[in-house]
Amino acid sequence: MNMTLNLSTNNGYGALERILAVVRYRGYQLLNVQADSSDTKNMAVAMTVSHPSGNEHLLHHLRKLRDVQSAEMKAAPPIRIKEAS
Amino acid sequence: MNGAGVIVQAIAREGVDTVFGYPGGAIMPLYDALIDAPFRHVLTRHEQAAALAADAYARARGDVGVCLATSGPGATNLITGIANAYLDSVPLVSITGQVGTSVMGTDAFQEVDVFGLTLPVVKHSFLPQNGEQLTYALEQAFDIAREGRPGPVVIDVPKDVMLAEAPPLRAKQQPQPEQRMDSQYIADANEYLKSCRRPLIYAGGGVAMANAIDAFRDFVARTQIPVVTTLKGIGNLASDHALCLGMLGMHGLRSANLAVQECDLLIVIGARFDDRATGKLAEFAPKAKVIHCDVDPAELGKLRAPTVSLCGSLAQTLNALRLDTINPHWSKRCLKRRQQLTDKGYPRTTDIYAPRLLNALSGALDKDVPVTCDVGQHQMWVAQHMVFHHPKFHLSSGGLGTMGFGLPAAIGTAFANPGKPVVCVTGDGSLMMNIQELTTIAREKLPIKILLFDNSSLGLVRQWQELFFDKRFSQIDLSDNPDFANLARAFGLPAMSFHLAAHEPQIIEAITQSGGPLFVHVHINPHTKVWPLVPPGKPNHEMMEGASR
Ligand SMILES: Cc1ncc(C[n+]2csc(CCOP(=O)(O)OP(=O)(O)O)c2C)c(N)n1
Repeated sequence: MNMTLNLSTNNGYGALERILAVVRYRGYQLLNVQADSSDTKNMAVAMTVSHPSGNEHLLHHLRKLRDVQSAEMKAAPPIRIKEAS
Repeated sequence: MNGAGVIVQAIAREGVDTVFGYPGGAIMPLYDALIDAPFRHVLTRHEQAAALAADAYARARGDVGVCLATSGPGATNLITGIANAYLDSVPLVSITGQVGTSVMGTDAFQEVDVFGLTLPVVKHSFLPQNGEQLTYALEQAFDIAREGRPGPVVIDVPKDVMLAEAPPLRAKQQPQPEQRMDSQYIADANEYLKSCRRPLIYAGGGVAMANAIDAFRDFVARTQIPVVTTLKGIGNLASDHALCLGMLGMHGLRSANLAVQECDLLIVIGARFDDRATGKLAEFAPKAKVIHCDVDPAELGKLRAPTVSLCGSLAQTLNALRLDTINPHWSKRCLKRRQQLTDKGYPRTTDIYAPRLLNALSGALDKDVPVTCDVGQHQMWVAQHMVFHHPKFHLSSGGLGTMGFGLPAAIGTAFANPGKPVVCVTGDGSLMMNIQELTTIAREKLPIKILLFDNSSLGLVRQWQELFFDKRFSQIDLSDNPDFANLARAFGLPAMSFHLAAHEPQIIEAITQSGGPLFVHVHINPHTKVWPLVPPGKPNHEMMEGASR
């Protein structure tokens, strides 16, 4: 099941790396990520992840990160992954 | 003042009186500043031991521990200790030296990406690029390590940042307001408590971490609900308390595992359904509704969906839970099983039988003597057969199961309890993982009593190979161990060796009477096993029980 996550975070050292590490370790597949860190203090991260059971545990783990100010998740339509030709 | 000076000030103002570490190139400015520090630095002989000692210092004191290491190999050596603190939720601040900012990212001498390497095993980390960022990191790190669910924090400090001017620490902010309980579902929880017939408490390390021991004991006294604990929850209620059914799980007591399988309401307090505790999760507490209380929302529903989840202050939550009368047949049944185990006693043997010796030793020691242990069969015997009156007296590596924890943990515990004896129970495999620390014990003249159970093998692995791998023994033979007693003497410790059951009283006397460090080498039978044992993939009621060996 695919889910979209919208996070607003501090633009702290390594913040994006920390978020992505949690996504991987907790067993979610990252399908798509966009991060806007043009503001030196804050960063907006939007990503689509997939997980067989579609549970929301990832949210709890992300909210525990110091840099993360807020995190929301909603179901996303399936993404077609282009196959290599 | 330079950055190194501010680091020293930060450590001092947090009330840390002992730090553990090992110097090297990139951290030399800090080691220079340490000469004038108002706290003690203990030079361990391996950075892993520094991290594990600081971890145990934190556990024994109930506050933050600090370890220091240089860049590159110094920092990589710390990682096992940091991971140990992470998995057992211990507040630890690790400060590592890093190469100068001008060469960072160039594969400079002793440069590794400490930030990246430690990322998965820290609560948070900092890599300050200038004095201001360093001061900010120091202001934050200790509170982050302590608050909510505690854990490790790393500050990786480039050498030039230690040498550069850094602004002074700002006055500490008011401590965070105390965590509140989630009152929304208390009424639901109380309804389930009222209607249940067979309630049981499953309590973990979170109880002591949340400073909720008093509230927990009061809750048990008020409700008279029987208690099972995890490895880290041992001592939440004294192990010999009438309502304590013992540790649950893979090597849990029969009385504990059967109660879990039979209960109809499981009140989970500061525990996390760890696989060593639950066995086959799908068949764990199959008849029970679950009330799960924890400070960490990520633990609620992570492995078992609770009927009611109560997030927030454990003490407040426990004070709000009510049960007027408990079904007497249920508690009687639970307690009878526990009593039967006690009545069974220990087998008679001619050689030393570790469980019996540990039980007798426990009875002879003062109630507040801390015991550290390593990992293996001896660790389980400590958990099963010694009596603990508070979790801070039982220092065991639960989550990571780190062989090599015992000796450095005893050092950290000794510094957290100056002048008090500490017992370190170890195995011949585990001891060798940090044996260099015998030197630290001798140098610091610490009253640590090392009780080595030598079965000439990696006992727990041997047991599994015997039971689950058709006795195909692979790489567990340690029959070429050194002469441990002589080795200990070479390190400057008094040492003695024993073989026979008849010597057990002598061993106990030696340990309880010795004023300083002592090394007691005890030979045991390599065939002795840990019972009971829940085989992998089986539910907890399918325990294997053997004879004593
Ligand atoms: C650092 C580390 N390496 C490997 C293991 C796997 N392991 C768990 S128990 C054990 C054997 C421990 O042997 P010993 O210390 O002699 O204790 P015994 O089981 O004999 O009491 C091993 C190898 C571990 N837990 N930690």
